[in-house]
Amino acid sequence: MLRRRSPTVPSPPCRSLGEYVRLLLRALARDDAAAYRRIGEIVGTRRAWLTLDDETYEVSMRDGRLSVRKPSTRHPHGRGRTSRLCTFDLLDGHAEVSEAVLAGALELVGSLDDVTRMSLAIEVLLDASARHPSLRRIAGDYRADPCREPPRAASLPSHAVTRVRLTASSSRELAMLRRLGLLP
Amino acid sequence: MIADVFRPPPLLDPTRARYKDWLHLNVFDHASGMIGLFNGSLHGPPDDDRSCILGTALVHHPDYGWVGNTEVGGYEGTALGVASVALHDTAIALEPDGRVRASVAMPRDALHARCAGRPLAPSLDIELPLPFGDGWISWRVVPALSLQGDVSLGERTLPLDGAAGYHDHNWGRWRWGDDLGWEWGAFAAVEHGPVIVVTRTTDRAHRLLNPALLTVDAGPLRRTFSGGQVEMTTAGRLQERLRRLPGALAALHESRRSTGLPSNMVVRADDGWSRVDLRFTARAAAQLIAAEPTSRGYSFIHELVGTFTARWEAAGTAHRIEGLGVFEYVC
Repeated sequence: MLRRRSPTVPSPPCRSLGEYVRLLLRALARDDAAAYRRIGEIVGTRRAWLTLDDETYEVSMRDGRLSVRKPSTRHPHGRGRTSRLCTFDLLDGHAEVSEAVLAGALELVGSLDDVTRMSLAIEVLLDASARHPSLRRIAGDYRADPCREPPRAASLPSHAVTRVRLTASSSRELAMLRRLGLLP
Repeated sequence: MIADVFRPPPLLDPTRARYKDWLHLNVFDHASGMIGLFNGSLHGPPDDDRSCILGTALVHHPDYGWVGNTEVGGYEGTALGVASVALHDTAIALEPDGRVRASVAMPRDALHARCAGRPLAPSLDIELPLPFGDGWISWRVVPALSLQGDVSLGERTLPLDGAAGYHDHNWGRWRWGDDLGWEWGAFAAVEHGPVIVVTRTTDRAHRLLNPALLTVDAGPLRRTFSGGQVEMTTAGRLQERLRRLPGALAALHESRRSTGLPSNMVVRADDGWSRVDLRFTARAAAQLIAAEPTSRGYSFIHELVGTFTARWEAAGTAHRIEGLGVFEYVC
């Protein structure tokens, strides 16, 4: 009888969104200093608010280091918003980023430059995760966080495209997206 | 006696950072049309923390589409044997008697499977390193397996007793993301008829096409064609939405959603004595994104599943066969 590995790792602690983002940035600074500096250059003097369901944290550069804290009263340059459900759909490959955006499950709001910079910072983090197990372990902790809703089981058929409902605001917008080949 | 084992790099091997090794099992269930891909792969040497181990279990069923996922782990936390790899959700192993076993429990993805394959013919060994990118690849293939076990998709369980199986083991040294690729296909005819396997290495753009190798396993008969005896062409464009994994790397490579994958593949082989004329039509495809663990680089492994028809002629007798197949397109 072939056996899969039994889970021997202890259950992770409960963490806030801010703690997860801090852990990711700390692991990146330790394991891939160049990627950490690159994110710092991308962020520059900007402040971004990250919202996961009902939690919001602000990311900015302070004293040459990336800082994560509760949002200040000042308006941010950019805002990113998503849900725990959407993060699982993305991590499990059940939804593409563009599908999540079109479904309204993932929002990046700001000027073109600010949105581009937020996307770039996320890309640097994703790229580094391919080479640094420490980042993947944090994603594993997030998935197993005992104080958060567990990932839901897939129902068949599992095509994520059936879950996506486009929320483009007008038929003209949809026509433009279709013409540009951006629709799923 | 162990029939086959992983080939980890010696300590003093200067190319050990590029070590790759994997065990692969395909399942073709003609009764339901289900095609399964089960894979355990090692990327990077065991003593490098950045190395990763992937377990993939993907099943395509005509009613449900793709079911399954990929899990990513490291050497630490993975049960690795001389010829087995067991992660949390997936495990695959070669047994001393040559049997191949796979076990999958992915409740979040509605997939469970346990299968054991018994070789129906001797393996085909290509252990001599073949040039591949700036490294090399070796290959051992068992084209035909009889299977036992079952695959469960949600509440539906499909027994594998009449299904055909295919196994191969690849190992070598290369870097994902380099100027390399390959085309490979395994095609299993209904009722344990012939199994046809074809492969060739390419550059990343598939403009440089190295000589192909094609093997037909038909019961006790095996015919192998190579070099100029094999002509392999692709055509059409697959329009289906890709299942792309792992999700984090799919998010990083959003632009690779549309890859211009072919929808058809035709292969002809003729050595003047035996002939094969095979046409494969893809119905769906998955994209597995392979990341180089120690330096930046990505390759895209496309698994196209579908049906084939073929005319197979040997010793003056012609046969028309049909069945299920997988065509792999790596770039």
